[in-house]
Amino acid sequence: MFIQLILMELKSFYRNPGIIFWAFGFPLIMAGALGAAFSSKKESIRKIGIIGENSIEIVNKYKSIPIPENSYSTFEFISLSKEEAIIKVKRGEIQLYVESSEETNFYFDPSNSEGYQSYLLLERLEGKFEKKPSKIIQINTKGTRYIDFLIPGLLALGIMNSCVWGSGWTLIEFRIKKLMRRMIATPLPKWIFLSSHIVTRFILSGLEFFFLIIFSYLIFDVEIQGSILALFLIFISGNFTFSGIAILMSSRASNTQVANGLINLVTFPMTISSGVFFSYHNFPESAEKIIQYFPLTLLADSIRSIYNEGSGITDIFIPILILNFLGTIFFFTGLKIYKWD
Amino acid sequence: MINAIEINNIKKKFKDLTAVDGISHTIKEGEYVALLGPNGAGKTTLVEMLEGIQFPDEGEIQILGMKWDSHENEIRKVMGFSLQETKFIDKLTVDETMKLFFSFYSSVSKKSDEILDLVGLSLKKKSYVENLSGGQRQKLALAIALINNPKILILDEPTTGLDPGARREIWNILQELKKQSTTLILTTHYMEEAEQLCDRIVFLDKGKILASGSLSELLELNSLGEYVNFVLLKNDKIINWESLPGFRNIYWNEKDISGKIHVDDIISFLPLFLKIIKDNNLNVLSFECKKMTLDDLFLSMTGRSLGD
Repeated sequence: MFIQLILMELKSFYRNPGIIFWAFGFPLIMAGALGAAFSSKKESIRKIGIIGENSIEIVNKYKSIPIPENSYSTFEFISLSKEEAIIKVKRGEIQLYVESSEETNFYFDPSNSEGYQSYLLLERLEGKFEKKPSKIIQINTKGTRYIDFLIPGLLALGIMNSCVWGSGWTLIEFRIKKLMRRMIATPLPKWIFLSSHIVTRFILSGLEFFFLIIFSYLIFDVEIQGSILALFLIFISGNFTFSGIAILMSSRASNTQVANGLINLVTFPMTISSGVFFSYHNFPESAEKIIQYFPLTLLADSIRSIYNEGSGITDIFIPILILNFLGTIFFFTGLKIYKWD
Repeated sequence: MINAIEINNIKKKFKDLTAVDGISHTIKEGEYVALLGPNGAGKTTLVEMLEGIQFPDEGEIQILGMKWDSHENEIRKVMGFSLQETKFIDKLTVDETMKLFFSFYSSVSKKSDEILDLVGLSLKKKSYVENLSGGQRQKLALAIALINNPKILILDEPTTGLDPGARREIWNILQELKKQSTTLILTTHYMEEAEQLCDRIVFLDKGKILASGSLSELLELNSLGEYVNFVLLKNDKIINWESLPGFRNIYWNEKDISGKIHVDDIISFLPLFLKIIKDNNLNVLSFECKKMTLDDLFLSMTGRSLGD
C-alpha cells in the first residue's frame, strides 16, 4: 500500500517531462551558470577610493604594497575628488574611501558589511607597511548610508516580484483552471484581457511601492532627493516591462511546476545579480557589462539615482526608453504566442 | 434563408487520433439539434470547432454565413455556449460573474436579473461561485451563455453529472428558450435528453456522422421494430432464430449468455419465440419485450451502446 502510494507519486512525476526539466535540469543549469559566473572571479576585487590632494601619490603607495599570498582579496585604488567618491558610494560602486595625510581616515558606513570588511583588510595591509594613526569616519549623510542603497533596490525588487509572481502566476492559474477559456470565447479582445492584468498590477504594486516609500521615510529617514515625476515614470516603465515578462512567461505554461520553474528562471538571477542587496560592481567586468542592462538593474539604478543623487527625468531617460521598449517587445511576443485554452 | 450552421468536410487530428473525420452537415435556424454519441465520438471537438475554440485542420465552417477567420467578433456576438467543463472565479458572486460577462458584450438588451430568473438562480445572486452546487454551476454557465440573447446556443453536455431533478430543470429552461426561435446544438449521451428536447438527432461515432434525422425518422429509417431481450442459464444448443418470421437481427452476448433480438412486431413474434424456448427446453433466467429506443438504434448501427 505504502509502496504503491510512493510509486503513484513517482510515476506522475517522471511521466511529465516539463516537471523533470524544472526539477532537475533547471537547478543544474542555474548552478552551472552561477558557478561559472562566480568562480571566474578568482579573487574579489575591492574598489577603494582615495581622496585628498596627494591622492595619486597615495594610490601609488598602496599599489606598491605586496599582497600577502594567502589573501583572497585584491584592491583596486582609484584617485577621486571627494564629490566623486560620494557619488560612487551612493551608486554602490565603492563602499569605502580613504584620505591619507598625517593620519589615515577611512570613510564608510559600518552597517555596510562589504565596507567594513574592506576596512579591516585594508587596515591590516597598511599596518604591514607603515603605521600611522587611523580613524574611521562614519558616512551617514543621506544618500550614502547602506539603507539609502538598499531601499531603492527593494522598491525595484517589489515591482518585479509583484508583476512576475502576481500577474504571471494568476494568468497561468487562469489557464490551468480553465477560467480563461470561457472568457476569451466572447467578443472580449484578447489584448484587453492581458492589458487588464497589467493595469491591475499598476494599482497593486503602486500601493506596495507607496507604502514602502512612506515606511522607509518614517522609520529610516530615507528621502527622495530627485524628481517625484521621474520616480513615477520609472515605476510605470518598470511595471510595464515586468508585466510584459509575466505575460510572455505565462504564454505557454500549463502546469504549476513549469510555471514555478519559469518564474524562478527569470527572477532568481536578477534578484541576486542586479544590485538589490549589494552592488553588482563587485562582479567580474564581463558579467557587469551584461548585468547593467538587466531590467531589474536598470530599474534599481534609476530609482537609486532619483533617491540619492537627485536625478530627474532627463537623467533616467535612457533606462525609461529601454524598459518601455523591452516591455513592448515582451507584451506583443506574449500576445502573439499566447495559448488560450 | 441562411442556414444557422454549415459544416463542410471538416477534419481534426490530435497526434495519431482522428477526432473529427470529414463531417459535413447543415443546421437550419431555429432547429434544436442533439449530437449523440459515446465518449470519444468527437462531439466535444466538433462543438469546440463550431465555438471557435479549436479550428479544423481541413474543411470549412460557416455560422450564419460567416467564417471564423474573417468574422470572429460578429460570430461571438450572436453565439452563446457553455463548455463541457465551465469554471468561473470562485471568489466572485453569481451577480458579479454575470456583470463581468455582461461587460464583454457591447449592446445587450437583457438584464442580469431577467436571465437569473429564467435559469432559477435569482436566490443565489449573492452567493460565491465556490458555494454553488454542480447543478447551480451548470445553470450559471447557461445564464452566461444567454447574456447576449444568442441566435445560436451550443451546450456541451449541460446536464452530465446532475441528478434527475436538476436535469429536468435545465430541460424546462431550454424548452422555454425554444419559443424564442433560438438555434440549439446540444451534445449529450443521454438519449432521453435528445428525445425530449431536440427536433433532430445526429449520431456521431469515431469522428463521423452515422445518421441524422428526427427521432421518428431515425427509428423509421431503421424500420422501427421492437426488441426481445432474454438471458439463458446455459448455452448448450444452437438455435436458428433467423428462420423465424419477423426476425431482423440478433445481438448475442456470449459472456452473459444473453440475446437481444430485433423483430418487426412483438405480438406476432412472441408465440414463435416461446415455442422455440419450450421445444428446445431452454432455461430462461429473464425475459422482456420493449420498443426500440435511440440506444437500441445506436446499437443496431454500431454494435455498441451509447453509454460505452
